[in-house]
Amino acid sequence: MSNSLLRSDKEIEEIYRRHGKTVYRVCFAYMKNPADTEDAVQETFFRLIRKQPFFESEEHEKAWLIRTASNYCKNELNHWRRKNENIDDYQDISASDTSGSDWVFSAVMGLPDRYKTVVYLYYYEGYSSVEISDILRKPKSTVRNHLHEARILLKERLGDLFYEK
Amino acid sequence: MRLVFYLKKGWAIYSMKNENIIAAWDSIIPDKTADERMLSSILGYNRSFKNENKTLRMTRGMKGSISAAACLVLVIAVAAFAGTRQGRFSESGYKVVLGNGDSMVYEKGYREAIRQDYDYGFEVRTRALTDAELGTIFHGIGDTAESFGTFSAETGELVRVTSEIGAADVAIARTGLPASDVIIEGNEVGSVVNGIPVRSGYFVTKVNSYGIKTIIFFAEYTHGDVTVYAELAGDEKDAADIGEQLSEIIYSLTLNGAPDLSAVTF
Repeated sequence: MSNSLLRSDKEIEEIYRRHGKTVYRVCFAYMKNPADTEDAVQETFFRLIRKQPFFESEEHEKAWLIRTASNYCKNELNHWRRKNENIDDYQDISASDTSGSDWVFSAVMGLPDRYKTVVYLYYYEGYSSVEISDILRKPKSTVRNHLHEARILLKERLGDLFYEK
Repeated sequence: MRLVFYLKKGWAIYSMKNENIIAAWDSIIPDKTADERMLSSILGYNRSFKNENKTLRMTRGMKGSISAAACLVLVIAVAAFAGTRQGRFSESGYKVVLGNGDSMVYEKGYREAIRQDYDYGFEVRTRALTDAELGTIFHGIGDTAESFGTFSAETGELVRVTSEIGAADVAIARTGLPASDVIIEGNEVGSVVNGIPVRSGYFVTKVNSYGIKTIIFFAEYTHGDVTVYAELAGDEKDAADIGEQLSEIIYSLTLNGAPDLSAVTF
């Protein structure tokens, strides 16, 4: 953890190793294809380098990156109005095995953009709705509403695969 | 590894219940080549950024002087702009005079209380709304992208709509159903906008981990057989802008008459 303004390559690499995958997932949720996701990840870290923010903790550092990535992607989409959502775009995302979860993957990626980040932060990263509202700087009620609507969609699309008490 | 992380975060129960969701996100990772390519690019940028800054490096004192000068210019600019603003904060709250002479008064709320969970009392389905449907409900106000409707699963009736207009979150629900899941407990002052009584207020959160307080303006009114709730949040230092933006949205919404949810079915 570095508090210096101009970070060394080693410090930047450490931050990338700590949070690169998280940033990648947040960006992918918006950009929907590996090429644009790569650009978005790089731009997020470029901003980290340019803005030289001070972080009090690794959680603070992670929250900053998530919010920066999310804002960058939303702006890009707003500017370019990319509407080419196609599940085929997801096929070459990774060498990872998605067998058994393809259906879930499609359902999650098919969620509206504003729900995907909240679903990711809540279900995968384990943040509470209060923490998510802090990270995304959205009212808590908005975050809860997004989770509520995302759950309705996931239950519709996944049935028993989306099980939650 | 993951289990330890989740336990640290105190939500092991949720992680167990949604392993399919976790597996889906797990599959989203860059391949090794892409990972190295991104890191290489980022480190290259870091080196070039530092080289550029070597020639522009300033002492802390110089930075401080320039920052102070910039702040002074900003204060003067804001002061000049504020002189033309129609919105005003006072001890009693925040007041905006609208274009038609009506005013919206937002009194500071003291705390936020969570209403019960969304409970429609019947099975619901949801889907994105089409442009034509959005036009029917919002009359073309602002950017209504990402609007969603909640419908009765049995009758197909539209019972609730959520949308974004500008940066504001707007929810419209049939009266008696929850438009929002919060009740703001405070001394909300009633305003009348285009003949419609509006409850409106604002509250400020505690300082977050970035040292920033978030201000949240909200407004709610009933028009015909629907309740409309809108909220807009942002950095407390932008409070005046945020209050004005939400007021303009409420003005436009009320001007267009009661949203007709019955015009849309599943």
